[in-house]
Amino acid sequence: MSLSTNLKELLISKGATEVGFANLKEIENVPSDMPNGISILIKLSKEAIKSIDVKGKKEYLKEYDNSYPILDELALKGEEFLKNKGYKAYALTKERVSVPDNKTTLIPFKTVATRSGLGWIGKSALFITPKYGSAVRLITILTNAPLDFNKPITASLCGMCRICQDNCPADAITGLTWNPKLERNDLFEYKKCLNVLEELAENEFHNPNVKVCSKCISVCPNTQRYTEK
Amino acid sequence: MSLSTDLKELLILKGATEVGFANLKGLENVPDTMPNAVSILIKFPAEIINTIQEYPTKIYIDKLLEINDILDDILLAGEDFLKKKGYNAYGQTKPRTVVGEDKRSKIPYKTAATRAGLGWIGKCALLVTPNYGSAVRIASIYTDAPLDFGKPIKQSYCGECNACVTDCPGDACTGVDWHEGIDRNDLYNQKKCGDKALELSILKTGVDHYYCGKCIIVCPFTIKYLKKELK
Repeated sequence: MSLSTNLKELLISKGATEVGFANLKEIENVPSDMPNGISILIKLSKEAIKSIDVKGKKEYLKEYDNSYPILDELALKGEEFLKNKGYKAYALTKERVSVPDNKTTLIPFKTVATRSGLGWIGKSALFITPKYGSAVRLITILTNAPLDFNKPITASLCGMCRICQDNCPADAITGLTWNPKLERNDLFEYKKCLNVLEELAENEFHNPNVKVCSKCISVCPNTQRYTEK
Repeated sequence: MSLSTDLKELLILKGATEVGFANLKGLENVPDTMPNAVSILIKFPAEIINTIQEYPTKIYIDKLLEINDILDDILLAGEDFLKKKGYNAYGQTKPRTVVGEDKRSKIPYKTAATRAGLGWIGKCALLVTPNYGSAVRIASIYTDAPLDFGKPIKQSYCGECNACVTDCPGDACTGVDWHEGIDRNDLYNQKKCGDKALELSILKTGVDHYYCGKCIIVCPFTIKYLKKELK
């Protein structure tokens, strides 16, 4: 069995929903000594997603918070596995990644995920998969291990759908269809989104640290196909 | 009201987005009897252009052909209007246009459009307009009617941008900047463009047309238009 298959089996056995491998050589900020990426995806539960539309979003917030340690642990397991095989590997865990004010990280997990063939970027700038819509969470491992790269996804499957745009309470979505060359700002204005997140923190959660809306996740027809199944 | 204003109003009523008037005297193939041109532009709906981010789509090609038909109707309406006023006029409709092997027509629509001040020619030999980028379709009427000519645009406003050159799947654009009078073949290779466009049309939409659209969708002027319109 190949290294890729072994690694994938390990990660799935530890709780990953999907795993993909990407060649990141051309991607900005990727270190030249670790030009390959592993994208690890976990799905969120249907119950959690359904609670997005219920005031307080209790189930959703709980699962959202829990997803961080789960993803970190998966990525660290993968890192360890690759290091034991003699390769360089670096899991981009929460504490290792600095997120600037505009929430654009140096090596976006979403870019690694599209390059790994797991899905595309929606008009909302969210990552979308055919099977789970946007009801997913992602993490990345960088490595120099030779992996069986998946075919990158370079086209959006949103078509003429504009449900997320029409339902965005912040009017933050421009409506432009994604392609890999567009900047996140072309699709979505983070500042507008943040305004609504801050309003929700005050009025729905009564906690300045809970800035969660996720309307674009719950209304996406791809997400709904998953939650209604 | 002037003849030009009346004509423009009529054409916009019929569905034109913009109308400009050009003096084509002295240009190759322009008949002495009809040295003026009416350049008619229809913007491509943003939500349709938005579907070709990666490849041409069936809906895009269908809309393009539909706009071609609308343009033909508008040309004939304009021709009729001018003739009734006693002028010579000839709408250059699709059925009346002979296109050579290399897709050149005798009097290019694009030349009339730049002369009418509607836009300039981009690095992939497309008409680029400030308001709609390349997301436009155009056509011309030739006439001897005295018209209020627009200010011709004689140079490109593409600047350092090379998006269409870099992204062309047919590698057909040379990257040379347009200025008035430059030959189309100095800007791009029609054969390379046509071969690739045909391949993509068939592969991605099942329709054997020569429409790719990549240079339209990557143009920053088009993107600006889409963002504004999709809101």
